Amino acid sequence: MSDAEQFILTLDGVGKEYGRGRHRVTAVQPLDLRVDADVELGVIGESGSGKSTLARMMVGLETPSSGTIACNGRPLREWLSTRASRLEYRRRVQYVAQDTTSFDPRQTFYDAVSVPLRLLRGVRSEREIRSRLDAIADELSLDPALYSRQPHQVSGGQRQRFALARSLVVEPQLLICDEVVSALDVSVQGAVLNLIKRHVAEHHMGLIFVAHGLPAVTFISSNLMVMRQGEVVERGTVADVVTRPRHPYTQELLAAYASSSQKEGGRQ
Amino acid sequence: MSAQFPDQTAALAVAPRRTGGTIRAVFAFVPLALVVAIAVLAPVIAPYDPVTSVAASRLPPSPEHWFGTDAVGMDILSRTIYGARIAVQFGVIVAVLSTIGGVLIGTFIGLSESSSGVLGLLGRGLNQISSYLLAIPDVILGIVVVGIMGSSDFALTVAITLCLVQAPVKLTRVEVLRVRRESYLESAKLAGESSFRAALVHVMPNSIGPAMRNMPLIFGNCVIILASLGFIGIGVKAPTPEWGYMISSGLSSLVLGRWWPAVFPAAAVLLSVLAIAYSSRAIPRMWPLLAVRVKRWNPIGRKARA
Amino acid sequence: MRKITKAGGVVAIGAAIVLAVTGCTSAGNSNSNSNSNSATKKTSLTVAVAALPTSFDLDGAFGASNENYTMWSQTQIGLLNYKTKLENGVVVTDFTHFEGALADKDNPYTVSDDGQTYTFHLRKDVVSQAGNPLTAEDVRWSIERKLSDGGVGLTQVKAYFNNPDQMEVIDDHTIAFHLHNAGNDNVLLPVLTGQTGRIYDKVELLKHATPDDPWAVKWATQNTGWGFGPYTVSSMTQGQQIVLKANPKYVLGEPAFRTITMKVVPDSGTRAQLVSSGGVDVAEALAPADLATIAKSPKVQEPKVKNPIEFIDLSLVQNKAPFDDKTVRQAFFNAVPYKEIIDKVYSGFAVESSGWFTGTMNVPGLSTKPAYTYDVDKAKKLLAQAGKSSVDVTLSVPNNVPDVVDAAILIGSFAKKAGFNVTVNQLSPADFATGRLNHSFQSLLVANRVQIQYPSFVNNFFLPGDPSNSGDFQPTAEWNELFASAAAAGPQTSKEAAPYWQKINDFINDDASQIPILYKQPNQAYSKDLVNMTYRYDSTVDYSILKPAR
Repeated sequence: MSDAEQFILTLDGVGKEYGRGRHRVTAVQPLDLRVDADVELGVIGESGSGKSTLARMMVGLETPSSGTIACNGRPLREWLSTRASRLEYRRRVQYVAQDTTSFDPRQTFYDAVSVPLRLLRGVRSEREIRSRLDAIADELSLDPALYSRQPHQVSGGQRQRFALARSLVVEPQLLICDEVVSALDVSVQGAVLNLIKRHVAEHHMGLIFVAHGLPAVTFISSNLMVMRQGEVVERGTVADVVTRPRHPYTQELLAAYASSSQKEGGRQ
Repeated sequence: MSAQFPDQTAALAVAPRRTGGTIRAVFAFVPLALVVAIAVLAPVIAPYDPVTSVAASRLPPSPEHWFGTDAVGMDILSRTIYGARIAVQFGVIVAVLSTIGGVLIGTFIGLSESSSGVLGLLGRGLNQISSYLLAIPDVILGIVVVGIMGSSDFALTVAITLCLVQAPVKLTRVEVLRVRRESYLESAKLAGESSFRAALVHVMPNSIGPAMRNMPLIFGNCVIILASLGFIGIGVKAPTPEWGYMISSGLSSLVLGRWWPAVFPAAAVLLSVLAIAYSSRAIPRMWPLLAVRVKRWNPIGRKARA
Repeated sequence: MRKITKAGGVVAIGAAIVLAVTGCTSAGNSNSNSNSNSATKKTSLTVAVAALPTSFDLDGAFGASNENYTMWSQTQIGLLNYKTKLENGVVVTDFTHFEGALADKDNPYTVSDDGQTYTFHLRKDVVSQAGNPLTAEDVRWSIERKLSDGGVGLTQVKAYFNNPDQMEVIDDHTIAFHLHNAGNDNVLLPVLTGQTGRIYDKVELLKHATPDDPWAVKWATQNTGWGFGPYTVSSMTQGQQIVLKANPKYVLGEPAFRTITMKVVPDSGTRAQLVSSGGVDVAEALAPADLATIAKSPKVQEPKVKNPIEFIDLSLVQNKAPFDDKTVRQAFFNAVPYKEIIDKVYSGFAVESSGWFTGTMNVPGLSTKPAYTYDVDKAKKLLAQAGKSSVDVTLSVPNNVPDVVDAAILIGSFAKKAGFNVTVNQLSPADFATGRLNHSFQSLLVANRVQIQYPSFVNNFFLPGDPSNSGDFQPTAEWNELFASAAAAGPQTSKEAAPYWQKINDFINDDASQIPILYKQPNQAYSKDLVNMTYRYDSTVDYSILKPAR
């Protein structure tokens, strides 16, 4: 695909169920979604609401039990079926998870972050890799001295930023962030959110931001989708949802946030 | 070689006791080092050539021949010392082969057994075969293999490796099953890595720990199996100074009071296996200390890569 | 889990040693009550043997083991016996003189003037173990059985006797053998005297014949009672023991010991320990080192003879490099440490070898000088002559005979100095037999014996294609000429023939392909309460002539 082509990710009746028979659990109820380039979509919901599963389905880490995910009209299954198109899809869509173990404990950050540059962007020279890494690191306020560290040798915030760096060096058209700030200290949260927001804006990439905390989502995205027990209960622009919540769950959510921010100064 | 993440933090946490720990850990390696030293220095230590008849046969222990002489007048002390060499040679080769083979097979099984298709079938099949082989007594497996392949050093190595490769296979498989669930494999996938590359770069290095720590035990078991096969007469070729063969050929005259041809090599088997066992227990303690040191001594090398 | 296995292994080895020791001791205790009833005259013997016999019939299943030879000799007898002489307390076979066994004691046979017809006169009133009277037809039928398909065959005499039609039953107690142009080298008498000459009870065997098995060999390999010998087998427990009962109608008189219990004790050291502690009366098949260890034991006597006939045979195969070169073969025979092997491996229970011709053959004036001695310089010189300084040799041995294995190891140790790098190839008895039959070895060392101590019989070990010809010797014109001259010169033990036998001995030694490197002493030990230790053509104990000392 040429970069000029308009990027569209569509979800058509996509749902996910686990188990069989009596043990069947619905993680995501069938839903339709269209994600265009430049969209900034926040997905909010408590844990178990299916928001992570939804995000993971979009990058092929989970397979939908119903419906079709398609990128530019071509089903995701097909994208992932051959090596060349799989790499192409990874170039377009990147996913960052909140997970302290998203780095191989044996690898240095330099090694880990250079992998997508080599494999997805075909960067061969060590100098080029270094300069691209430096650029991202600079943007994310990461000290190059940390490159040679291993995951357990840095703080959670630094690790999360490296996780972001690993995805951002790919320069995807759509970045999916799954609870990337939830585990971080409040002081660091803001910084990371700012970094993401700025980078997405500067590079004109789409963003799906999955979180359970309202302030982060509302800060970073323009559209909002509220999920509860696998079901999308409300969607709309941030302004609409925050000012005129229709679903009782959304109202509850907003009320809860309002009271806690008064008491604890926004600590989640 | 570095260890799992929790081990290292534990090692760092006990930093004040580290010096004592190091000394104790190093001390634990003395028995193993002694066995290896005897093997390596055999030509220097042994008073006589181990495969040359140097005196009258069946002499009891004396100042000239501390361990006496055997049925053809070879010096039993020299043969016992050189026996360490044979044991260590086989032990090292078998330990390395079994560990490498075990890690490869264990990784393959761990990654493939739950998948469908031919690979899954192969993985489950291998896992079953491995379980069956594990159930066959080592010596019997050895007899069968040597019986099929004919008696040679190569056949013996294959036989003993087949006996001992099963432990690293199982150990690695369990580790792989754990590592497979780690999210850094998903990250690797998203970074464009193929399953094969991920298996090599992430799964295997993160799964070899237990198999590596098992290596000294393989060494010890190898000495026992080699001696057992030598004892029943299908070990290395005579007059190669091999402990098991020495014991079996000396055992008959034990009844008539000629104890030295059998007892000294038997003691050598016992002591060397105990030594190896003792030292191998210290390896998990030594591992993190070693890792910390390597990192401290070699930060520049790592930076240079970065 | 692995740690447990490992510790288990250590314990197992330790336990094996302990068990071996205690196992032997308890065996000794349990057996020692067998001769505690010696207040009355002792009529039973307990013997420690290495294994049980595998066949009671030489024709049915020929397996040359000490145990089979013993059983054949104790349950059967032939027309003749060798005369014996008492040497040093040992009843030794005199291979050149015969006396009647089933044939008449004083006048067993007559020979026609042309030397071609042997007429045997049978004893009268002899009955078999089954009670059937002995007739000339038994003799004729027995020889026919030997010559039949699957019979043991009489290959040693086939040049002049190979057909049942050559026998003539003259009357119930007279039978004649008509030979075809037999010369001075004829060995009919020894062939009829040793293992191959046993006479069977035709009537009894035919009771067990079937259309498929007209000679009843199937039944006979597993049952006794169809011979004329001193004992029958009364019971056998596989893997444990065999019990022999005396034959009261035995033609040479009922044996003094009426019950012989042979217990299987696989380990030589344990057998030796048992006889020296009085646990058994006789121990068979002892390793030389064990014989030496118990030699001074107050309860033990061991037979030693001047001219033993069991030997260790070194074959360097002529059609395989490097031994296709006679000089290399001679070099190797100079690199064998004969004296060291006799001292170290055989603890003196062996004598030097002058070659295939032994003192037992009674050839006057035959040299007793050793065929070769250990001479490194000579070996090196010969190797240099052959254009070599270092030669790799694979010496194959059967792994179940410790003294042969040790002798091979010692050869390797000493031949090194002469430039031979010897690898000792230990094979299972089956693999060794196969390799020997296929002539696939480069060199081999094996225990052997010549049961017919006749000079001309040596030829049997050098026939082309014969399994006994393990050096793959090809008879030359010179060889044939030498044998023909020796036979023409006169009777085998005559002064006239002697120089020719000496020449043949020298020829074989010079050819350096297959030569006995030493002769082994008997490998049994007896209680001192017994007299009439034996040394026979088959090296077995003759239990029928053993007697209590007092």
